[in-house]
Amino acid sequence: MNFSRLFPNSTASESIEPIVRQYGDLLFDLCQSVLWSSREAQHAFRSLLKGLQRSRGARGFQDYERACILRFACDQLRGRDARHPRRRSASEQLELDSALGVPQRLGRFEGYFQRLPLEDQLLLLLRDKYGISFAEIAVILGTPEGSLKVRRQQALRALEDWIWGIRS
Amino acid sequence: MNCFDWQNRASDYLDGALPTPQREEADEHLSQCQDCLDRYRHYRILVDTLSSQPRSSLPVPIRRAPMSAPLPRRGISFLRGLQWSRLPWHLRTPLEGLALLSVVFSVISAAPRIREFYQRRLARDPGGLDPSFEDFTLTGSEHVLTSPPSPVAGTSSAEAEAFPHSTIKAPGQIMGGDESAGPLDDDSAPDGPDKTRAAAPEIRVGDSEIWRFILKTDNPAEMRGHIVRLLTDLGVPPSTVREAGIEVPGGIEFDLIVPQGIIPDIKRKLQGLAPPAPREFAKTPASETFTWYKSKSRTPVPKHRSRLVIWISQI
Repeated sequence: MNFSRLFPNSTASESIEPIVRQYGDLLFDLCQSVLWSSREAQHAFRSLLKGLQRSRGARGFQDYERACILRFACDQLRGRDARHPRRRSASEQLELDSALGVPQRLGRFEGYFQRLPLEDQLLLLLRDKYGISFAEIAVILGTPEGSLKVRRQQALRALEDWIWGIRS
Repeated sequence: MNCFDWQNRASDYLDGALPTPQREEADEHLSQCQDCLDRYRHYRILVDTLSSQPRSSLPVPIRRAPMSAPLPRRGISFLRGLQWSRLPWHLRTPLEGLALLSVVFSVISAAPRIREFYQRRLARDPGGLDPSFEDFTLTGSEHVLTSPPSPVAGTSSAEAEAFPHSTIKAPGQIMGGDESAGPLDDDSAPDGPDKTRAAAPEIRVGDSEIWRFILKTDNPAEMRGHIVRLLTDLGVPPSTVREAGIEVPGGIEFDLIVPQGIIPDIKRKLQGLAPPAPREFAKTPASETFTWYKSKSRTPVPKHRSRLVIWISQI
């Protein structure tokens, strides 16, 4: 029987405090970037911590701690997206595409970024926003490095087509 | 290096992770290919935009108490995002089944009401009778006339002239040559005293009606001949179906469609043809040798016509 759930101040709950202290901002920002709203990000962050609390147990992640935590976070976000896919409405899509000039479209970069599939969003966030290496991202996302590089180039090309227009 | 090769290495080129020989080839290609050069610039802008995006920090309440801090309520936005397809299958399937069953039960329960509504619509046909008078058996009493008077539809002087009346003298008729009056002192006349002098205006003939006349006689075959002559004199074409009457178990039946205008004359003439009741049955229910009633036809009857059924039975 797991008594840690009956006593919130037990050792199990204390084990996630280092995670919150060290990676809390990173995880919360990742959740908010993918889920679009702070409210949903807080709920996702709480469920992520619960999952980490259950999976970590008495022994923490010794090696590749950040990679394992981010991998767990990405799995949670994938499951959340599968259950509640968040997509822009048709009117929002039209508003995005109705921007006349490139500067206006760059100003709506977030909207175009959220058009990308979840895997591409996670890849670009981990690589370009958080500066994580491809080797670590390969562990996080469970994809080979070569595939990650190709996918990154494809995601950037899709964003380029939306913002600068499709060229032959 | 061509454009395809450059694009395959674009990610490493952006990060500066290409080996020197390949980097020099990529630089040379960019100096020659404007498209790839533009693409590289666009990629650089995108990467810079991503890296320069502000990072959200963890809210202070959650940082202090990650597991116990109150979270903002999802509220209306959660409800807006609620979609039927998002519900788990063990909730969705029973609800869909219940909805389907409720639809089936509502259709089954509504079917009798729809039929009743349809029947009422049929009963409200122009010139139609009140459906409460359907198959209402009378013996020529006033009750028929107390119903909501339905105008005699389709009766016109032209039609009346097409079927001229003629004098018929039936055997056993007590009264004289005045065919407008029925038997004067005949107790067997089923009509009340008011009906002995029944004339055409006293009865109203409407659309989709069946007029039944029942005669009892000791010689049905002879009465059959009188009725055939009666109908012929009233202008019913000989080609009319069943004009000559058919023999059925229990008697002889005439069943034909005739113009509405001749119904009163037929009634009057048949009333005159009706024989008196035998003495032994006087003042008993069996003394009625002539009865008539009308009802609403469930089958369609041509406009301005009525169905005429004359039944001759053996006393």
